[in-house]
Amino acid sequence: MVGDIPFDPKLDDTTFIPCDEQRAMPYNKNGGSLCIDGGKDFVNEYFAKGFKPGKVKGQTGWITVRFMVSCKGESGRFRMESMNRNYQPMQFDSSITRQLMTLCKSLKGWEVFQVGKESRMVPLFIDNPDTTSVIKAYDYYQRLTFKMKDGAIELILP
Amino acid sequence: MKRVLLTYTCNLVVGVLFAQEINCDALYDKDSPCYEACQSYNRAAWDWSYKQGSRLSQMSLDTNVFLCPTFGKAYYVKAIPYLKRGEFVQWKQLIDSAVKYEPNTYMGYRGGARFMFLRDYEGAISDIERCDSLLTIDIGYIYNGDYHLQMVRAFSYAALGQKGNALAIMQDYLAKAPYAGPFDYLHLGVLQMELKQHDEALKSFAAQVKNNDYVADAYYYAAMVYKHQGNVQECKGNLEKAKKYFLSGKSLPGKSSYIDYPDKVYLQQIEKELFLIINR
Repeated sequence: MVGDIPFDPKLDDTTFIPCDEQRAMPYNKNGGSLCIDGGKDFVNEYFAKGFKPGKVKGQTGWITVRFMVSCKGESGRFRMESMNRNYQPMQFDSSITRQLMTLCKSLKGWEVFQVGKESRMVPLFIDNPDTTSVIKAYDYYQRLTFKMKDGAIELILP
Repeated sequence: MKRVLLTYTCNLVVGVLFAQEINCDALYDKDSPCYEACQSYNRAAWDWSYKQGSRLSQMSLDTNVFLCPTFGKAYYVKAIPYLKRGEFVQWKQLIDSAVKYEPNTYMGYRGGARFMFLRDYEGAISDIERCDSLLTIDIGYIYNGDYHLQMVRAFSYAALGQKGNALAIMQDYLAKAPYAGPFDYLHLGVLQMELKQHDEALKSFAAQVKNNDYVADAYYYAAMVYKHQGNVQECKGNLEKAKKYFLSGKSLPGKSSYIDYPDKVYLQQIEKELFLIINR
């Protein structure tokens, strides 16, 4: 699937163990976006406190960090993609990208995605609706996109 | 030519899988590779195993554009999962191809997505205004129908500091629109509030409640106007209502959508203002 993040021994922490990555839900699972305790306001505050702007002129564009959240609510398999305002790939200054990656990896409170009686959504791969009467947690993907202007975070999406 | 039949708008509503079936007979000659590509697209559109973003789906779309390199819809559909899942470089390359071959259909869509997913204000304005110049009919709405593209154009100008211009665009649009969108009056009110047109802002928030009373944000912003006017009673009452609505899930889309909507208020903001008014 587009957006899947397979394990890469050169990049990934071996202590992060997904439960069933073949069935990991894509980012847009349940039509949803940010699944963290405290929501977007918590995330905004977290990065406002933790990120030290570099004020590096020309470091303008978007940096997206994609990752997986396991069925236990742990995060791993972080990947970063960045582009300039013309949507061309762009390498940002390492003082910026290192900070963002570290902060993303340290961000806690990811929700556990459960499917069961109370769920409004049944994943496509569950053929028999009866199985949804048993609550089960799944791995899923998340992303954070940082709109950057001269080395500072202008805003965080989604 | 037959193609004219389908190029009716710059914008589309995104479907769950492959979206709408295409009337290939109306668009292409039956013996042409494009007709075959179009038919192949339709077959996949109704096959559940070709779910959006899957390898099978993406490969099928590659085949479509191999057969018919000008088949804009295939680029557009292939681009969607990249947009939703945050691979924006890939999305842009694909959607640019869709726009190149079918600008009337996809230019406005691209503009709306640039605003909604990336807050690319300049890009959104550029696409929407080009779309407007291409068409003699209404330019349409963003991918899910929640905002007319003129509203998105206004949001973008406002974000770039041109709030007066943004207000004029919004008012002009709402004066001519057959009906308002689910959140239009809220955004109009916020803009009026920012321009210190407080009485007009309160009228707009009231219009929002009348049009769609499922938005905590309208009560929050009304409270902010009352706070400015020194009306503690109304301020507190509206904040309490905003909190109640927010906790019952009645608020501008955020967590239940791919992205936060403009002017979205968070619970923390509401609670902070409530704390200040109670402990003043």
